[in-house]
Amino acid sequence: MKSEIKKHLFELLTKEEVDIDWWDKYLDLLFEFRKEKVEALAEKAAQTNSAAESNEQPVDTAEASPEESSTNVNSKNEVLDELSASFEEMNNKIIESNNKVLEAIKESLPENYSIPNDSTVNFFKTQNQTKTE
Amino acid sequence: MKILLATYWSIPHVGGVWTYMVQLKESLESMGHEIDLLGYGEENQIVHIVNENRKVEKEQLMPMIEQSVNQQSFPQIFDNQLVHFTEIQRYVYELAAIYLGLEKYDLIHAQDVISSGCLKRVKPKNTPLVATLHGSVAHEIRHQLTTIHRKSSSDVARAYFDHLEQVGAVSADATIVANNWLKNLLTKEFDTPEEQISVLHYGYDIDSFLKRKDIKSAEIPQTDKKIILFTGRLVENKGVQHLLAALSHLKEVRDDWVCWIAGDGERMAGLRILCGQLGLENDVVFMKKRDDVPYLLSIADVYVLPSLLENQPLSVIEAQLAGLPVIVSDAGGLPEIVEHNVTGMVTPKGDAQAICDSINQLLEDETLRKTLGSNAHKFAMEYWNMEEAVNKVLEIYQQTLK
Repeated sequence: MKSEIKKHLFELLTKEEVDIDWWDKYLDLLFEFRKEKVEALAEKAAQTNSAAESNEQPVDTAEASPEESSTNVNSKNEVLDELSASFEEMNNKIIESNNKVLEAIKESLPENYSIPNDSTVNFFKTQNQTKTE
Repeated sequence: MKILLATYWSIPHVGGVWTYMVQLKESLESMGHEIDLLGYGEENQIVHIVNENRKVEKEQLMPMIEQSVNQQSFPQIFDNQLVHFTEIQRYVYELAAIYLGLEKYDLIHAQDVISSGCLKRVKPKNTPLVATLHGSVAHEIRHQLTTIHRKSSSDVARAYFDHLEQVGAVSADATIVANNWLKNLLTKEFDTPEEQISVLHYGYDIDSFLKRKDIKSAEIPQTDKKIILFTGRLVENKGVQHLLAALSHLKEVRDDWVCWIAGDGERMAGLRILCGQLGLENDVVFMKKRDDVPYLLSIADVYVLPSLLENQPLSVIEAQLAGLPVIVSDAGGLPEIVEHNVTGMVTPKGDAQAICDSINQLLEDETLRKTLGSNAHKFAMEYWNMEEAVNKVLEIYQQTLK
């Protein structure tokens, strides 16, 4: 799963083609869906377990179900962890790329460049003066 | 020369500025110059050089801007939403221009007051900056501040955009406007020195227009009635509501006409409702945006542009090239390109009865209609010559390079 997502995000798509908002939303939904699925599986396993106990099913079957569901839960958690790590990695790469853009701009800024610009600051000053008069 | 044509507005887009930029680019390139086009894009979320497909996302630049412009340090900027949005967009535009690189250009040609003011701050000192202003941003905003942007802080917003107009008009080494109306407005209302401004009317790619006259891109309603045509964006300032009011008067006098409205915009729904209220459902056809305006003009009988605020609209230029008599309002620069009773008719802006009378006169008198149309065509073929217009722009470039 992790390798598939990485393949899509970092190898097939250029940075320009990655719609961050879309992926953010998509991964959130995917995580939510996975969590729900894992919870549903765990619940089902618990129900099966309890039903098996009350039906006095053979010992070997009753013992197999919790192990199986535990393996499922672990495996799903791993997927969640991998997805989180992938997303984190993707996010870091974007932040790194954005920082490079900002660094490049900072190096090229003209002397006396300011935000907000002096003209705007003076404009608001005159507005305040007008108000107080 | 390597020249940057730059606008603060979103490109590519529908409207005169984009058409002007594209036609100027093509003409200058045919003379051996290299041209790049800079502007906002993707719903104002990126700044890009369109022809190179290079862009910077607004989001990438926001951390740097938010460090300095925050509500605590500069609460005044946050008082009005429109002011806040514009102020942030200006810094995004400046930083993006720095990142995309301005050093390689021999000359920068801004297309509005905002880009002119921004590029002045970030361009290399020795690179000349020319600005062509295609209208008055301050005047357009004034109207919006009484309608869609009406707020308790509208007074500050009005003063802010007046300030931007004044700064932008004097930022360039030379400022070009298309008519005396805008020159007078800038000198009298926005303290722009007269010697800063040159009046050079637009040019138009006439051959390309004439070639498209026979090309129909979508179906049109069949009619044997005379066709009154409006083409343009359906926004408040185009004054289409006054055309509809005029048509309701005209309907009382005659019914040998239909009116086609080709264009799209925020006023579309309201105009359709008004049309119904005036009982014009069967007389007016809303055609939405059409790619075959030259064809529509070639089969129409009269063109009407009842604008409330206007500079030098390409729609009138196209109507004249198609040989149509044009009825325009006296708003902005319109009376400078339409001579009353010679190439068309000029009516007081917002005067529905006057529009009705002019349409009625032209529909009634075929000889007058054809004479005014023919005069308009002759005037347009000479006056809107693209080569001549581009040469005049080049002269301004040369003056600033000296």
